[in-house]
Amino acid sequence: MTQQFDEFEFFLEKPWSDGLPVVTPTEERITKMLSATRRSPDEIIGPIPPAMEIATVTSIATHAVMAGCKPEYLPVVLGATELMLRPEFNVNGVQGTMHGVAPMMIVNGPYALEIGIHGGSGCLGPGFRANASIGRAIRLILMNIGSGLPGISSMTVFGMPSRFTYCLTENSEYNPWESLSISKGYGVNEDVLTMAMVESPRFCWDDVSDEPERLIRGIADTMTAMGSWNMHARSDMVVAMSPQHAEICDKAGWSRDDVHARLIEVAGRTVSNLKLGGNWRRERALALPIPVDPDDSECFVPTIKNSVDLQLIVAGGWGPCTAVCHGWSGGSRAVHSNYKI
Amino acid sequence: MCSVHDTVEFEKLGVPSTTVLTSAFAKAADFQFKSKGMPSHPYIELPHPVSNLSEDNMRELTLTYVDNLVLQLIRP
Repeated sequence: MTQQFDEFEFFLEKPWSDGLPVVTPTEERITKMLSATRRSPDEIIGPIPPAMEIATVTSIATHAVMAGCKPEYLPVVLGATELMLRPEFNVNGVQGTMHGVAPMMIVNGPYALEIGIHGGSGCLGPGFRANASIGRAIRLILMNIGSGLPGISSMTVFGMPSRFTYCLTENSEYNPWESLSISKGYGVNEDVLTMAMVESPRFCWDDVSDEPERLIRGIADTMTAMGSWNMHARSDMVVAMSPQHAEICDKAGWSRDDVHARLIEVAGRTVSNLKLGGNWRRERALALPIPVDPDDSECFVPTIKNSVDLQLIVAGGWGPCTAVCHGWSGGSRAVHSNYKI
Repeated sequence: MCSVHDTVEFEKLGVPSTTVLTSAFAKAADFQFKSKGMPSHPYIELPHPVSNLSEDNMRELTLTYVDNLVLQLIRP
């Protein structure tokens, strides 16, 4: 009896997957995926590091199929691929680093809601096809076209669950403030992607605070771990407040800008405290883009060195929790842009 | 591995260049030099780790590699 060909095992035996089965990219499925964009299938998107293989609209669509995307997700995947190739995002560095950050995709605007990107309860997964497959497509592109393969070209120590997928929108239903994209100057009806290289979230659980000042203190503490690169380099950070936490601030009359500014003001450690452990080095302190006197034990070192590095969003379900995602050391600036539908 | 990328770009401009890395990044460097079209480009491989060395120890270690570094930069 002839052994039947198993398409799933075929892909799993190749280095073309993230370790999970992929949807077989048949010509029919790729054609259907391409029907979701007016862009030419041969259009070049750019070289994906470190292999620098050229991604085209067709190869991106192929990976969207493999990741389990619906055709209507393709514009987001295309937009994210283009956006992450901006030099200041430094995908090349992240593909090789020992660290484990991943490109978090924050998708704002009406199209995100139309195609079902989730920003409410459990939005970082698992459970939501758009979030799961759009982020997975990006990872497959980084692994298959870029050859960002652990142990071969990626020296990541642990990897990270968020390297499977890292995509969400804000909780537009319960966000008391303007969205992240509006805070960056985009219009309400604009479709905008923001990407930041960050770690998986660590949670600040606070079911006690009933006013902003105490709440902010707890969140700020979560932003200041000694082993976090945010304390020792200029680095991005995403802070995702649950609607419940955001509401505490809103009810007290605090705007999004007020919370953003206060977090930057409060989050940090003194030099003497930083010297107790973690990544403190005198040379690193002197290399910071802000004045830090390594000989002044009371000198305050803020977590956020430049206000544009803090991406403050409102996401997740109802509950007393804020997610804090620390950044990377190697010089990656968050990027944002419209994307073509 | 931005340093490999920079080395390759400098070499393309005719500026002799090399990369200094620690052994933990050797595989990644081999991969990147190959993918950027310079598979046999040499580099300086320090033992890993170095980020926890004192300045004096780092200087001492670096000096043992200087001759090799110069040779890499003046190679034909």
